[in-house]
Amino acid sequence: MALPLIVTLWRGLSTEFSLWATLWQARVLPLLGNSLALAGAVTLGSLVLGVLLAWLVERTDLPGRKIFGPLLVATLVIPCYLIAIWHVSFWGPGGLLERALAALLGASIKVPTIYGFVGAWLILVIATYPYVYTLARAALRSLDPQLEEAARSLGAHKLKIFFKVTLPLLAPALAAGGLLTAVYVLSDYGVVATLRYETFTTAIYKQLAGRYDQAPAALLSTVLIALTVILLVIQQRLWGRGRHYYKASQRALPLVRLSVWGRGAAMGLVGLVLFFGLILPSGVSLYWWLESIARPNPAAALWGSSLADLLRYAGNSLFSAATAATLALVLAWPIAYRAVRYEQHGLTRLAQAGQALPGVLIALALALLLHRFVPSLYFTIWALIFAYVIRFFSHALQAVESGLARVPVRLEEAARSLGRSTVSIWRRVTFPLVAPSVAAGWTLVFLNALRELPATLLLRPPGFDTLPVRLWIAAGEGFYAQAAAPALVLIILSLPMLYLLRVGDRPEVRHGD
Amino acid sequence: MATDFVELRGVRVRLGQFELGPFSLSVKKGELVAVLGPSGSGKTTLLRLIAGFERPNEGSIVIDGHVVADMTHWVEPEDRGVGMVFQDYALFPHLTVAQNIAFGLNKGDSCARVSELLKLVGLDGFAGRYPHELSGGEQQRVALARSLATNPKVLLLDEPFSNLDADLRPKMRAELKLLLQRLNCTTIFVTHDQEEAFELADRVAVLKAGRLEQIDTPENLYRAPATRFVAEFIGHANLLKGRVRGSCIETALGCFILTRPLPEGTLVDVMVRPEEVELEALATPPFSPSPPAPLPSEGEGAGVRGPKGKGEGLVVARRYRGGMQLITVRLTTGEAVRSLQPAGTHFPLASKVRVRVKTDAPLIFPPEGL
Repeated sequence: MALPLIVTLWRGLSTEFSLWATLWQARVLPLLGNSLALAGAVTLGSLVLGVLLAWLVERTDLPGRKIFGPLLVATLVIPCYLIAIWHVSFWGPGGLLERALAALLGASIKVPTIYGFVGAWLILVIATYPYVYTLARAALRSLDPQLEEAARSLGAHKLKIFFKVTLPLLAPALAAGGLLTAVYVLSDYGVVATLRYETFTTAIYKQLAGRYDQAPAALLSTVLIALTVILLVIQQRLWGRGRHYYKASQRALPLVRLSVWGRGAAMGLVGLVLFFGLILPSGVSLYWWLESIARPNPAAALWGSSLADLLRYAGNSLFSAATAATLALVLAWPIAYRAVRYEQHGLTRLAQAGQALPGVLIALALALLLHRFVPSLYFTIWALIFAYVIRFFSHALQAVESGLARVPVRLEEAARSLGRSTVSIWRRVTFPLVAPSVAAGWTLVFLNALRELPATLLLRPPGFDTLPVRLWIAAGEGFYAQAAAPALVLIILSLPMLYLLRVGDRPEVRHGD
Repeated sequence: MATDFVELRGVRVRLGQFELGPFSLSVKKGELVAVLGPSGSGKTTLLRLIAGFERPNEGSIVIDGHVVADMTHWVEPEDRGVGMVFQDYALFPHLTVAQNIAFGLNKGDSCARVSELLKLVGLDGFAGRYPHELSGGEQQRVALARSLATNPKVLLLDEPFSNLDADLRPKMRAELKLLLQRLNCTTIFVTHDQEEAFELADRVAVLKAGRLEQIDTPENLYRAPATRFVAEFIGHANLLKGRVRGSCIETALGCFILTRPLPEGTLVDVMVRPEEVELEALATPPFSPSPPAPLPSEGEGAGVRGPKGKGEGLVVARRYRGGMQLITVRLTTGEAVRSLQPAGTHFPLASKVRVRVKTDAPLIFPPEGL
């Protein structure tokens, strides 16, 4: 699984120095500035938004917090490139808002442009705050309420308690959420491409797709990998440290009472977030879909948006995603078994490398590899499936590991001592206990592969279109009506994600970059 | 004698299904009071009321002459000057031992005070450690030092020993007692372990299902329990069913002298301590081929009979505690009686014994359900 990483690094580092020197000034430095500025700003934004929302839902008497709690994570159901696309079709030049204003007021009014840094920042904050939000919520819930009570009995007032007790205890969760966000922003392709903000991923994509020049692409990738690895190392360090809080007391802290103004502001914020993340994207896609039905485009055949075509794309998507999910779980099994039963985690760490890598990079690495060693597989569906497996392998691994961890060896030994055969133990003890995790892992890989965009664009064999590819191409040309149907199908197919999010409150579901 | 330092007057609090009180309780300055009761009896709620983490629905709480809670006054927990040691200590996991202890102190004078407290609880050299690097006993001492740092008027301890290993408890108990005596600190602590309460406390308050059953010195609680619950809870007292007949109470173990006049035929429960119950082995032929003696259900009339203060029964359980064994005997009437015997004596299970009671003027209670 780490092979693509090694190949890319090797290719990047073995390019001539002169290329390094030219590219460094002309491309790398500006891109570095762009990527870091966006990653930093988005991380800050999602930290503030995520913590605020988590606090409102967990610790205040916000009306409807039981409903908002899960709803605020539900934005993950819509792939974030879709959020970006629909926002552009709404706010963008000649978009729905301008059209509506023109129809209502009769005058053409220019909406401030959504393209560029601000737009990308806004959409990415909306797309990534759930990571911080879920982690902060879990941390707030696992916080021992006695700690705050102990602080009060020692004479500390509210502000001191917040800054000296609560915030330091939340810090590990916030750091983890922040880093997750930063890594995600670095790996995102769909949003920044839609909003025309140039980062490493879009630059690499252009190099690969347009000029098909591997050397600069590999070089840029090397820088991107270095950035990601730095963040991941920090994440590992922080993860181990300071996670020693635990919930000892079952007693819940009393909820903070919001004033009337506070309640209004909180509801406004929650409403705004849900509007941007859920209501506007789904509303706009419905609108375009209805328009595509009401006013059939003569070029519809060209866009392949007939029902038969749609079913074909959906079939392609389902087949590749399902195959990738199954393959990932089969491969994950021995590694997870080894890790859990023999406590050998080295392989696990290595196998998780793909998770942090942008899809663009995996596509590049596979292209490099296959082109050189197995050209017969190049531009086949198997290359694509292999990319999905590498990309989302860590989900499968984590799922199987957590499932196996629920079957301690002692349980199997107990079954054996009761006179059961190995097969019978497997059937009656191990499998029933592991099955839910395996199912969850399969679904997670499946759903993530279903919405994967950049690697699919780069590696798909000619004529093999998936739902994301179709809607991406249509939307890229401005034919939003033709993008609506595949987008809606994709969202509907993603709905099981709601269940996964509800079950685990885990931030594992990615947005599909 | 000093006046009341902590006073609860007619306090009642309702928390969901659970209701505590109304009851009154007063603690004198420098006194060490234990609140004893089974789990769910409201002990911790009582502490949280005094600390200010729960608001009473009725009544008032006075600390050192100031009303801290009643219908019109409310003093926040941080302003009460009440130190609390939580059951699981609630040490701040992100702060060192020294930082934990200094949490309630002002920056200026904290350094000297922290080292003084560390010395006091015997943790010199632990200042830089984190809570998770400490053993349970050490954590407890840090929690104690932290709550003592602010010189609280009252110290509250919630089950201070429940999280410690059984072999560590006696030692920590002795240390705590010594420390609290030295500081002359008014202390209220909660426990479900009567041994703990009796060893440490000047007075013990017994709580049952949110009600205060009795508050008194350990000796008085043992000698003269006010209710049958206290009698049963403390020292495993036996309560024998009896009926008033003339000037005596007839029970399965014979007649007891009636200490106060009661109408003929009144049903009462007679309290007999296990150490007042004597056992005498009844000779059974060795290697008897017959099964153990028939069980009581056979002879219904066998109930109240026999000579004064005597009954017969079968040994059904034995439990060793320290150098003694607690033997449960099922009498022919079906009632069970516990007897405390030296560990050396031998009463095999299922053997027949004669039961005799040493006292003849025991305490009586109205029977259960009345």
